[in-house]
Amino acid sequence: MNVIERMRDILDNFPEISVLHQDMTDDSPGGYALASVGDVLLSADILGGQTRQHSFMFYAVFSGINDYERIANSGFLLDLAMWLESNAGAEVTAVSGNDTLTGNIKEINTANGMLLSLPDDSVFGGVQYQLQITVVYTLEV
Amino acid sequence: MNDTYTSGKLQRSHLRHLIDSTFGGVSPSWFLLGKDIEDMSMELNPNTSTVKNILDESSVKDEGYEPSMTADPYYANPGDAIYDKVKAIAFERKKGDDCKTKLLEVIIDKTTGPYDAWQEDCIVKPTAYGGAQGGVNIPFTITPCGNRVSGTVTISNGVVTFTPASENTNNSESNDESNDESNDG
Repeated sequence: MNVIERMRDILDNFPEISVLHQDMTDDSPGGYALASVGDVLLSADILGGQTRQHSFMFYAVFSGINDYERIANSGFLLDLAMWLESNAGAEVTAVSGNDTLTGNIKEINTANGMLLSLPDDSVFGGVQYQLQITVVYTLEV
Repeated sequence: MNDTYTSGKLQRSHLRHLIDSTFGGVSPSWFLLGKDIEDMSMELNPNTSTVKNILDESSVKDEGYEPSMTADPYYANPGDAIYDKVKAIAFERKKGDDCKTKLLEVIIDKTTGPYDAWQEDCIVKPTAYGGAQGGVNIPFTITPCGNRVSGTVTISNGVVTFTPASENTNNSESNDESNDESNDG
């Protein structure tokens, strides 16, 4: 499982997410999606082992008619952040040439959880939140 | 005859340092150093001194080398073959022969083995333990201490086997006799 597949697997196992789409959500409340936005090499050891960072955007559409619902939505993002953090150690793989490299997720951090847009231009049709997720992982030769 | 790399720089992973995880066992079991380490060098620490005689001639005295190498970080991992020994040396303050093992240096500058290699006795000394959040770090210094033997190494299924050359090379740093080279000053 590469890091994208592994993160989808982790999110699929979050109890409050039923269906996880890729890149874009449904506009109705209960829509979730994960988008992969970049991967960067952070460091390499002298044996060729790598530490990399992969960035994701997570989108979620909730009902957000009033403050109570929007506070609950923020609570969802907080619960999700802590759930993700607890999944450090999960195995990841990557293909390099003819070799399959294996490694582990070292840490999963989240940032900038915020209300992103109103798909229907009104709070009554659902509000879309985003959460930036960064995954630091290793690959061993 | 082995093909030799003829152009392009060798990747750092082509120079490998291994230590005998048995620390004095009959058959060496080589443990590869380098995981998590971004920079590690054998510091040769050459010693030379220059004196000028009354004829204004300079004389350079070559006093050899005092090589050492530091593996930092070494994150304690009970699954590593060297873990028990490094742990014991650090926490039980062991010294002398308890810290003695063999170092194997291999340079992979051919496309197929066997590869040129050098084996030498060495002392392993942890310099600290602890470190920041994320892992127990026990960095250690490796000090070669003689009996340097050149030879070749084969690597098969991850198992490293060292074969001494028929003619051993003993150009160890600390036991070398000093060589004098004179230059007119």
